[in-house]
Amino acid sequence: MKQREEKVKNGPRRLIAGLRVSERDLVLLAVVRPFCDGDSEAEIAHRIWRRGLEVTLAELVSAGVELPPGVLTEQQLAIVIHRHVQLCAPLLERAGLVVRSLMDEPQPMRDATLRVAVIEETAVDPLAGEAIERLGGTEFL
Amino acid sequence: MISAEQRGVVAPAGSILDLVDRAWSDGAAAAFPLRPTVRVGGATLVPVAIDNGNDALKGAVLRRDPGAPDSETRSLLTTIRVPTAFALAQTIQGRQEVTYSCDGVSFWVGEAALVHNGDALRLGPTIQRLDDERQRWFIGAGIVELLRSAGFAPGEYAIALTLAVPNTEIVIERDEKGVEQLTLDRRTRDSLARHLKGKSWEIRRDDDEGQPEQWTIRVATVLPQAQTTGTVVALTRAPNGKLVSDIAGLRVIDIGGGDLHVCEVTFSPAQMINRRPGDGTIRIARALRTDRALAGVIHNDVQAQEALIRQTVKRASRPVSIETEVQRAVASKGNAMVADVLEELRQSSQFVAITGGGVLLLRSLLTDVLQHEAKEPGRDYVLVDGPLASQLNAIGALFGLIFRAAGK
Repeated sequence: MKQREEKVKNGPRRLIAGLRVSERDLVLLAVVRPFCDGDSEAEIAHRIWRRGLEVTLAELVSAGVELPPGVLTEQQLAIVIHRHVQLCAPLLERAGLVVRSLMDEPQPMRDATLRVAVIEETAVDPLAGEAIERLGGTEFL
Repeated sequence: MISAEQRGVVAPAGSILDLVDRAWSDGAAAAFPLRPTVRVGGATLVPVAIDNGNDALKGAVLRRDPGAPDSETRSLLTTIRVPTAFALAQTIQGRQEVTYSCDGVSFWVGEAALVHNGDALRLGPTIQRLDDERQRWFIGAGIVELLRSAGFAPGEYAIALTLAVPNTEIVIERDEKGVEQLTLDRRTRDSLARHLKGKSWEIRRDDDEGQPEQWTIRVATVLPQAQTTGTVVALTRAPNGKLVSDIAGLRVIDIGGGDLHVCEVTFSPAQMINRRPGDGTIRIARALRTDRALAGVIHNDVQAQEALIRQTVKRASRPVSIETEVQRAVASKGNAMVADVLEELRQSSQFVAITGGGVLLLRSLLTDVLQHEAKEPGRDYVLVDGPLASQLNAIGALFGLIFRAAGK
């Protein structure tokens, strides 16, 4: 029923590719299947493909690619991706790849290098820089 | 001015050296109220310091303290030491080694290279060392390992790299107004500009379980500094750059892997006098290498340097203690080095800093003889001991870079 409702919402579907899935991926798929809301293998495959499409779009839009008008706005895509990232936060945190406090707040900057730059600057004695220069640290190449 | 308590190092209170020594003595990370990035030429960069010594690469970097409240500026210091050994990676069945791949070449560095009979990398001036592409891959891998140790995630980083170069590569030149100033030797500058400025390392790191990581390290700018500058900065300045010592100059006795090096520094006017009384710990390492009891076990200088530190070698697939052989080598060659150090200390009318990785090896000999000297620790000299001894130049150079970037 739910599947039919979704078909109505998104319009009719078209078969675009037959997928040959490796043994390794089938093992991983078995982990996903009990938690994936779909009535058939095709439905589950479509949902996984759809998520991949969203992530790929987000990567491209982040790099400056524009979305086609009238289908999906940047704001809508950001909301979808934000949800994915939030759900992944415990894993990223456990793996030491990100700190939760960074995930909880909107971060306008895009990588770790830039994230740390928002910290308020501590004043450094300007005479210290001159001392380095006098000892031969004269130029930034 | 000098902290009274008798920890490993008696350094000017509040100096970078003092703060790092206190933290490390307590088993804690050294934390500073500084931001972990610098602004150079309008770009925000991660400052990275590398002291690429003859025996090992030492690196230092700051990272924002993840435990600090958002309102607080606090960064943690991370340092590493990677023995200067390099080997092309081989196929292994079984447990893998940490392997780096760059420019289509897979290789091991440091401990992994030593285990697999890796080569010692080229010694000598910067120009000769950087001409060797293995050296450049080694430095790139060292930076990856440094960032990783500090908790940076795999990804792309734009860095401001400061490189501690031999003091002899800092020369006196006249500027456009005819004023003499210390500056980088032209050949070293050309070499750094050719090999490191704008350099982008694309490095894949596979861990010992074969898990890959992709790192891109882009060198946006390079600030060369004399090796001794690191010691001067760490000893005389607070993390915010303020002077914490009233000394007007310093004699640094650096017991390194390759060289025993002495540098007399006067702050105003800035002067640097360098001399090399002899080889560094390499003379002990070579005595060990040629020890009959170890014939055929130690194949090159870097293996010998590591054997000195670890006091074990592998013989016929078994770890064997070589404590006796090391004591013999230190007794025969180390005493000569200690004599050189003592002569420099006695002759100096300046405050003296005794530092360098060799302090670890000569510690017992040095502390014995220093106890009988008229000069007093803290007032007349500082003996930099423990892991700080080998990493002080890199730590000081990192702060030198931060100060220099702030003062631009």
